[in-house]
Amino acid sequence: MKRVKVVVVGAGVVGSSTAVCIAETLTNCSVTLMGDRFTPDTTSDIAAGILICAPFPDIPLERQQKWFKDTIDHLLTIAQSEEASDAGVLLSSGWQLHKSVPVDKKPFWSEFVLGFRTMTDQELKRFPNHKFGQAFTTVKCECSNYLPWLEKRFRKAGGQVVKQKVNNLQELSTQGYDVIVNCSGLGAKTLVEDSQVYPVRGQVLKVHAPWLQHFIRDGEGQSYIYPGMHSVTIGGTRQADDWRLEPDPGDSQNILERCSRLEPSLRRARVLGVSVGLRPSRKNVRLERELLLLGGRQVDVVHNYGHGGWGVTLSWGTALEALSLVRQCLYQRPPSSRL
Amino acid sequence: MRVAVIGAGVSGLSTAQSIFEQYHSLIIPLTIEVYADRFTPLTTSDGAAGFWQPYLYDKGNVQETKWCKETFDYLLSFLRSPDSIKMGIFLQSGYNLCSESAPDPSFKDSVLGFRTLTERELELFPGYSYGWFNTALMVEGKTYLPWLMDWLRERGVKFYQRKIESFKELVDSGVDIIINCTGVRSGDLQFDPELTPGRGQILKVQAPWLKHWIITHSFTAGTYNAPYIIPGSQSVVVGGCFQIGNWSEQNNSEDHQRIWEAACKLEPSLKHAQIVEDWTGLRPVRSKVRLVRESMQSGQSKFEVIHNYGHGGFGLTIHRGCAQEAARLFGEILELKDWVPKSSL
Repeated sequence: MKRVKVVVVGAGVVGSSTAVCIAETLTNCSVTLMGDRFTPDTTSDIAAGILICAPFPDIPLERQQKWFKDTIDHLLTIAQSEEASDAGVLLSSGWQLHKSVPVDKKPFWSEFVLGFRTMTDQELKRFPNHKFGQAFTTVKCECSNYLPWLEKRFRKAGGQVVKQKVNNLQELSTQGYDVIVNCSGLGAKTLVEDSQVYPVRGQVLKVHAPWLQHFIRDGEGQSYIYPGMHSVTIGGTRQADDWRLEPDPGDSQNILERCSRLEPSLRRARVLGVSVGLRPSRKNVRLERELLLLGGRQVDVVHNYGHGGWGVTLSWGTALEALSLVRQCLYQRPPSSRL
Repeated sequence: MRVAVIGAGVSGLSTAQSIFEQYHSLIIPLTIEVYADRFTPLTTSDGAAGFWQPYLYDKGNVQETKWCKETFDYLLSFLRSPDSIKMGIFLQSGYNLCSESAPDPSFKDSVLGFRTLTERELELFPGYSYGWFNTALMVEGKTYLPWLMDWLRERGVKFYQRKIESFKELVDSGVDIIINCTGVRSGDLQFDPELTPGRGQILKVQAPWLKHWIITHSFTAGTYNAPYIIPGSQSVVVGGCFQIGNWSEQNNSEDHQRIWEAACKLEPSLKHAQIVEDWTGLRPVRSKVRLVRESMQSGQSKFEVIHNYGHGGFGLTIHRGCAQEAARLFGEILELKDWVPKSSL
């Protein structure tokens, strides 16, 4: 029986994670990871990679909780292993601050991070503009290390990496792929003509502040300070439908000002660089199967895109679900079409 | 009035600071001189990781717990200022791990966000079944001591690099009050049977992915003889050595091996850390801190000494509380000698 040809489109954190899951589990498939951009030029490379997120409005909470839990459990195991520094995975403790007491005092993922609790009054004294806060330990996953580490794992499992821009799914059918896993992020807007996909522009600064050991996140995440392995990422902006990839000096000024108010020592920090990423946003992430007729062939398509600002946070969990959808595709194929 | 501080570690410098702060406007002129054979970055305070944490239990030395808390609150107060970096002060959270359940430590009310570890957190540390998480402060000697010296220098304090062989030496030159902050070598000036070195060896490594301190406690091996990992602003300190009575300041390769293996078992990611160098320091260990004033006589001269030494492995942790107490003792001397009208103290 001929091996099933699977192609994963998009080599950001979601595509790479999905490709690894499939290649390591479905050994009867040949898996290709295909993208026009690879690390360090993906959107994921810009992200600080802190595991925190906001819920999608129309997806059952248990499903989102499983995505979060699967991702953090996977990364916690890496963090406690010898691979931690290679993979760019580290534990990060810190505080999420609110100017007024939120209605929902516990985010839906609070039981999956470590040691989640409300901040004490003494802890809040450091933040005179905030009335409520949450303290916990989560994981930071730095894609500039994590993506190459995933690629190594993918190749070890027999995967092929191809640099190629995909203009439409037909092309992939013509190339003989039986299953297409669509992790094209913002690219899905044109690749599968999904008008619900839109960019949310995020600008971040990398600063040198090695004395900062905690993350600080303000309210809904407009301002944040995320200490990493080699620098501290501070941000951010959330500009919907803004496609500009060039840094905006006004945004940089604004970010420095807001973050310095949270952490005064940042005024002494040297700025190392500025970057911009376009979050591949959608009202709800699209994680589902579709059977398409492409160029006269029946092709299974599994969509896994639209993670917005929560790509790293949900990467492994959504990859596992995409894997199970691919499995379903394989089991439901009539034997004749596998030849 | 001439005041001579002997010792330029964190105790000597911070005591000079407290005395200047409290008395420079009352005693004019107040000349403060600091004498030491070693200055930053070569003091014991410089080599230490700079982590604020007293020993788990104070064994009834409640005064010491109070001085440690005072120091914590003092350092914390600088955090909103951007100058906190110039002082080498920053917050860091972490884990205190035990192999069996234990009573809450003496410092639980001093630190921020103190709590017991959850089951899931303990899963991160196989071999340990109990412990606590809290946010504490770092005060890195290599930055803090130069900051203190600048502070003192700006206010006219003079520094002299030389080993003082006796109190008499200083008294003969006209010093009125001596502040004795000579740490582990206090015995050279005045025999003290309770003072002994607690040798510590540490490894400085590059592991910038570590953002938490991890201190393990073995109630059989004793304080700091179990592995600990303390990230700093420039490198990570790895340790676990507390040898009472060992005066050797040389790095020992067997200690190195033992410390490194235990630390890698505790934190597997260290396998890929680059080891930069080893350092050995002698903690000035004593049953309790010697913080008292003593009237002494040398020939015909009577003089006053304030002793402030014997801070073991918690010198940085307790320094401000002790410095303030030493300054209070200084005031007692002034009062006793009628050097300053009682009403102004």
